[in-house]
Amino acid sequence: MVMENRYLQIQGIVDRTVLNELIDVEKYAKPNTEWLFVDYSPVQYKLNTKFDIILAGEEKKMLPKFFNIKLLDAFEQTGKKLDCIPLGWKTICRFECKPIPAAVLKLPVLSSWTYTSELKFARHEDIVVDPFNISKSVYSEVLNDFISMSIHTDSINKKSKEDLLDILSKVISGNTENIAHKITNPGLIVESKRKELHLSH
Amino acid sequence: MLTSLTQLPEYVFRGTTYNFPGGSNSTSIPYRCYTSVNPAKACLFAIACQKNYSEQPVVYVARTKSLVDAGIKVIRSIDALALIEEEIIWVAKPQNFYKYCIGYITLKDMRDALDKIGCPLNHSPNHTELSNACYETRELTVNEIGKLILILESHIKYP
Repeated sequence: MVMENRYLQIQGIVDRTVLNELIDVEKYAKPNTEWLFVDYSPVQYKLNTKFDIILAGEEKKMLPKFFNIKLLDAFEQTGKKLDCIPLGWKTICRFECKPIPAAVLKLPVLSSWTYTSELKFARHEDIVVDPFNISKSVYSEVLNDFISMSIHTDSINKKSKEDLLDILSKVISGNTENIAHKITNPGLIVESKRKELHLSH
Repeated sequence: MLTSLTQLPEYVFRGTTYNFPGGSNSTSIPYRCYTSVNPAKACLFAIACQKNYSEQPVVYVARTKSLVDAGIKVIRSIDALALIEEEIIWVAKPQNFYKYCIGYITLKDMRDALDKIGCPLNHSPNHTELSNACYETRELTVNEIGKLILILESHIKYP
């Protein structure tokens, strides 16, 4: 589904014993944070980088939700604190997300890096999605976001195709016009005579 | 398996690009220079680096005795967290490490030499594929590394 590889590969949760040997964990104690083994990074990521997309499994399926996962700290294998995740380094990183995503909590607890990654954290602007292989759940979540945003602003009737394209552009790089057409075509949402979009169910 | 400083192998290998000084995190105190006891795995790192940097991909070869004699410390003779890479970490800036190396081997010459000792590289990884490539590359025996060093003698380049 995802056609490029600018993402962090997350292997598992760092075992507490290993973590305590390397890092003064108490110094970093903070709710809604988790220490994770991160595989070799394909690019450099600054601390405080925010990731809003989680991809799962070898198929890199996009979880149907936007996240707000913040990279707080990065360390290398001897416990040296890093000022970023450097290109080509594997790291132990502390991430913050309120709440911690269920998919992250389900990760295996590991005592070292391994050779596979269960999840990938990405920024929507860094990934390119194959529009012809996107899952229905992602469409559904995009639509939910679209509708809930409309409700919050109490202006559901003012939402237009442009608004939908704007939402889509947050998760999908490429031709959002085609994707919008793919959503509207089967009738998931319909466009009124006044050019306003509505859920069809 | 290495368990202490007295069990350091005779050689270590660093796959990188020519004279790569390391990023800010390697060259800030405490310094770090990452090597492998396995030349095939070092080669994988050189291949991955080649995909990100325009400089020539190479594998530096060092005698551990030369590094120890130069006063360069080893943090862990074997890092339990880096078993897949068979990694040894030196407390040195990469460019200081290169000074005490025997020399460097071009990626092509290293691949040819690995072919000759019966350990052809089956991977051409980028950084996201490195862990799996290292995992699928077998360990080499001391005898195999000895044979490799003999083959490399006529190809080694001096900084």
